[in-house]
Amino acid sequence: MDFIEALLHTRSCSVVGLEKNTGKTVCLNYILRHLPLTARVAVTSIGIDGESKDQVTGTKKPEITLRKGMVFATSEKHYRMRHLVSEILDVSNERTALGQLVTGRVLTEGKVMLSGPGSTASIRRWMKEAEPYADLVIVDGALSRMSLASPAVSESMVLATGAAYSANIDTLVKKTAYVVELINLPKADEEEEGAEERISMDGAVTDRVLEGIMNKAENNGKELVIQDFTKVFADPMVWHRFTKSHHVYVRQRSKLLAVTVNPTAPNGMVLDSDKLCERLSEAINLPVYDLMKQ
Amino acid sequence: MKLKDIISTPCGLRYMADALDIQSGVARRMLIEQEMMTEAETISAYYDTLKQYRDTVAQTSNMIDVKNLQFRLTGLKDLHTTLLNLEAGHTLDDIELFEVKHLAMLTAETAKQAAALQLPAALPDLEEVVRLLDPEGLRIATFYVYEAYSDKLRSLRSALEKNPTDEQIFNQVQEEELRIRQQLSHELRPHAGMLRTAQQTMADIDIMLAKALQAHRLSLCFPQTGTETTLTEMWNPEVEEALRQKGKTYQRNSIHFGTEPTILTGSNMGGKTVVLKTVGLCQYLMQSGFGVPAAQAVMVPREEIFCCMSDGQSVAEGLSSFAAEMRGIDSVIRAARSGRNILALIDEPARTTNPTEGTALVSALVEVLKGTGISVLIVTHYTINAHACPCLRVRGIENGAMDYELIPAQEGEVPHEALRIAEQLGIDEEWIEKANKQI
Repeated sequence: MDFIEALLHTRSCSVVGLEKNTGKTVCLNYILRHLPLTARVAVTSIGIDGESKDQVTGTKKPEITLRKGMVFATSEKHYRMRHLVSEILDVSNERTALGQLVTGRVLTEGKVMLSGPGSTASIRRWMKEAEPYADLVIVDGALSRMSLASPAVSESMVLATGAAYSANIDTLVKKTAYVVELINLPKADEEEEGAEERISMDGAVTDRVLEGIMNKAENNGKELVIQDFTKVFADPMVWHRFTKSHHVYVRQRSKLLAVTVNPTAPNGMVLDSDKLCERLSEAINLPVYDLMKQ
Repeated sequence: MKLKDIISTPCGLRYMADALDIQSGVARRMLIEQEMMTEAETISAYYDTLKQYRDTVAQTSNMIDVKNLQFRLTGLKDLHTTLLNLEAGHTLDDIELFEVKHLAMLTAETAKQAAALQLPAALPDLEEVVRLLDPEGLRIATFYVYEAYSDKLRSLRSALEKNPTDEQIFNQVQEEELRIRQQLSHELRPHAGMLRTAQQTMADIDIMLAKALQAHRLSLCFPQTGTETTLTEMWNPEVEEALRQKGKTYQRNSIHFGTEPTILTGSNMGGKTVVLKTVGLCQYLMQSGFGVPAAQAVMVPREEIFCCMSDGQSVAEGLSSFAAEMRGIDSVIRAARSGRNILALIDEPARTTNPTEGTALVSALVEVLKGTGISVLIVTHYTINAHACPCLRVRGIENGAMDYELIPAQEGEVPHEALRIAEQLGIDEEWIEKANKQI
């Protein structure tokens, strides 16, 4: 598939699900299965997203399948539960919600649950440390207000969406297109940092923030620079009103390679896969795949 | 007293401890949990060792090797729980075995580097541990239950490789791994004590290197122990740094005192409180085995050090500043009466009350403490009856500039420079003029 080829040209890629059950793990496993055998790959996950839910409901966190030679990082707890033979390369001082972070190398193919570093700084550190072992780092990227780590640390990104995010094709396309629009925000020119015509902010971009900027006459025409797309929590209406009069840039940007869809919702409702792929692809101008059909 | 109990004393100790370039969390924890040394022999022996470290780090040719050794020590981890598990007879899991192997290999590497630098560090020989956890002799600090441990494991693993999804084979692999880990844990158990020693010794090296580097960087001295205190050309690094940032320089000064109350007077802004804090700092640093900020230092090891300085903490306890102060000094008197060997540093006692009673309280305090054999420095502005105890004063303003030197003073000689200094500060003229007329 095309995006696998594109993915191999980047040094890191995060797989982001817009909602639980949008097929993020399917997508991750698909990528891992289709990478060429010669590729040197390291895999981890960001955050503790969904962790507590899983412990409450008792549903199993999905496992991913790793091939011999792949390097992975997971918490102590999930390392002990692994279903493969692996060699420990490092036990980091850094602690995750589930103990120390263990980096291992797969010796005999099998399954493992991933729960990696919990902050953007620590995921970045781990990606750096994994460099000697891998040409490509794949990050299981939780996209949630619960996670402190941002998937935007990776060079490229694959987005998983589906019926679980919205049961109506029109709404699903609209909502997904909004996230895609945010992911595709252009990268800020670092040299102009601190320029007068620019408003720089690190934190969350909410409706109030945007309205606050729009309401001040002196801000007219100024550009807004934010950390990355995950910081935007604004309502699409407010956002679009804002972007009519202001350009927005991000300091950290991932190149979106593809969008995958899971037409089946957890309640059993199924959307028309072909129609969904076509409509979405039209709206976002990117290839869209239903991985179950591949 | 542990370092963590005294580190917040308002004398600049935290500044010195924070400035230490310690690499591992283990060493940092060990430092703050360290008991203050109180025996002269212990202190001398400690400084003898620290001096060897200082001589090593002071040599420019050793700089890279020292940096490398410090980098090596960043890998030191706290294996407390793992070692407890090992000693308790538990079977260690892969992660714990990895940690043990990592520690054993780190010990060997550290020992090699420390020996090359001729540092006095006795690290245990853990080759047997390395051998147990590195059956293939690869000398790489990674770990898994190697096939080299058993032929059965080897054949099971190769079967698993052919059928990765076969649950039965996977379970058999796990069973065999467990058996091997049980055996390894059993064989490692006798080494648990040595592993603990190795961890502590490496933390010690980490601390010693940091202290030696600090002593070298700030030109600190290593003190002698004696029966009286002499601090020559002492300074307070925290205050010095604050002054430096304002473009000012710190005037170093010297002090000597024995085992009786010593009165310290001087004009306002004459640095009396800084003297008191610096004496306290030097004393704490010596008993914690740091370099001391002075050209030369002779000090007496103490069982306890009392710093009675106002730092506004009384509010939290719901005491008035007067009550808090009285209680603090009361504990000094009690300790003195019980015959304990203490140093007390008391900043302007009874300053918040009226001068008549204040003067009486301070004079009486000197009388009570005289002859108890404790060392006490009292800063005061009151003209008190010093009961023939030694008095020192800050030289004060000369030629329009403050001279912070401490000189012997006559009993009851208290400088009257408050108005002159206020004038220099540019305080309201009318006010100062009217005050001058009252005198």
